[in-house]
Amino acid sequence: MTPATPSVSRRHRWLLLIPFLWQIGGVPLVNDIAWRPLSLPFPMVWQMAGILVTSAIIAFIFSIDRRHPEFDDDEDADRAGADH
Amino acid sequence: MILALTLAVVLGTMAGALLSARRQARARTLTEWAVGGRRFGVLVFWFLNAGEIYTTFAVLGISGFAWAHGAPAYLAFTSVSLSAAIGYWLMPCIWDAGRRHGLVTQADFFAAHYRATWLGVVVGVAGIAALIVYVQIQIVALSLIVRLTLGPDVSTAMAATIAAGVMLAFVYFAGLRSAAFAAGVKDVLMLAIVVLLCMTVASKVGAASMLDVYRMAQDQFPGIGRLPGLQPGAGLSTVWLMTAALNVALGNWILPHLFQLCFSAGSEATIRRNAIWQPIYSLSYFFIILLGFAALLAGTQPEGGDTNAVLLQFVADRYPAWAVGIFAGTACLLALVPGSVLLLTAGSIFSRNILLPLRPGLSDRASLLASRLSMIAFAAIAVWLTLGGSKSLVEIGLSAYAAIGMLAPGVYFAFIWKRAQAWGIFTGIVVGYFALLLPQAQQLWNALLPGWDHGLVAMAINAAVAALACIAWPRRIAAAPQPA
Repeated sequence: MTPATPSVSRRHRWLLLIPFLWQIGGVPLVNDIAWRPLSLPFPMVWQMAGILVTSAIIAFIFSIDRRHPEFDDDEDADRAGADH
Repeated sequence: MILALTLAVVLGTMAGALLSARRQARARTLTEWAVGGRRFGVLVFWFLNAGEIYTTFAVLGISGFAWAHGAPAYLAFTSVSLSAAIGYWLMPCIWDAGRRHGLVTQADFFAAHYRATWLGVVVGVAGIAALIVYVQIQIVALSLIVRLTLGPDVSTAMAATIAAGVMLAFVYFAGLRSAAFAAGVKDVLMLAIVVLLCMTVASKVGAASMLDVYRMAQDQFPGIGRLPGLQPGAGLSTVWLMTAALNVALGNWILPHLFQLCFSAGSEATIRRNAIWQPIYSLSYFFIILLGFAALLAGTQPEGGDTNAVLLQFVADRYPAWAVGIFAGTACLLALVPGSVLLLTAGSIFSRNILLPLRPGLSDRASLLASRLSMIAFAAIAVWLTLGGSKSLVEIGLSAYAAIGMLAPGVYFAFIWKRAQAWGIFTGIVVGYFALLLPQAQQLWNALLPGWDHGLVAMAINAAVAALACIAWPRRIAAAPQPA
């Protein structure tokens, strides 16, 4: 079964690497920063910011993807899965 | 009073769940029971997913971890967002495979994609093992609450057994559908409790506000805000956080119950949209860590130094009985709801992917019965594991992720590499388990890669070996249609 739109570029999905660079790659870089935004430890604020960044990136990627679904939204396919 | 309220919360939720499940069609087939008929819309799907975030691991485990170590608890902030980033891409692939091949369990996927029923059996066993470890987390937490509400005279063994019994009762009647309702109740209650606790916690420890609690903690316990935290000897360094976070993110959707959850989604858009919002939910770990730090400032000393009991102890020490009761009841739900989903998943894998291949003539009814009976056995094993050790919930959780990580290469390769085949994947799994469990191997990783999460190391070795094996032994026949 072929996907709904076989020839759409999905290169924007490489943006999904950014959360990893931020939340994992950033760990050793921010660990020793002593500044306390709002009295909070900086490494913790960094991670929380990373969460927001991740959501934003996923939302952006979805806004592109939703125009070209990867899989056929095929009702008939459900018949195959009704019973085992 | 505490006991009464605890029971009220738990039994009330059970009653509500049963009523909501009965209103829908009775489950007749294993598919119905396990996957809820494959029609969950955005809201229910989100609840089930978000419900997975608020588990005992998250609330009791992370608050205890923050109390004991501090900064290492930031693992919680990485877990959901990075899993969602991977899940955005991976979950729809799994969902699509599920509806095209009529898949119910994770082991089904391996058997179908690699066209090897025996691999399904192997994966089924591996999946069940990881699930039992995860159930152990819930039993440990539940037995703590049982002992809190019934009094310390109750032995650990009895408490664990009661916990297992209640969990089995909780899931017995309508499978996944009742879990969805209970998950909703659990989330609402937990959110309310956490908000209530956090609004009052500052005054309990002499701080001016929640942010001030953080300030006090960092002032009184220097080093708490940065890695390696309060106990440098525990080895929870920056390397640990990086590798553990990566391991959790890669392994998250490989956990059988989350893998199978993908099968229940209504559409690709449902899943992808859900991935956007999931990480936001994990910002609430701010409050969980806050409570851990507050417990530390308050000088909370849980019985026997058990980090898992820190939050319970703190609440029991400082809050009125009615609050403790509601908290205990909600904490029960935290363990019961995921625990029942885990047992349910293990049961369906057992009867469908282990029993059925060995006894093909099994009827639907018998299959359902076997599934339900096996859940009792798995709960018993989890109780036995509980009695055998006393590790922190976070440690047990990371072991579950390490165990299930052995199946990760098989899943990822299935979607990105056409040369992946059954024997190669199997070889990788076997070598991976050796790399994970053999004491000599563990010493080797500690020497060569200090601080690295062992699960990640074993997963990498697994993947490398599987790749080599798949290249060395060509795939037999490529006649059947493959996922694009």
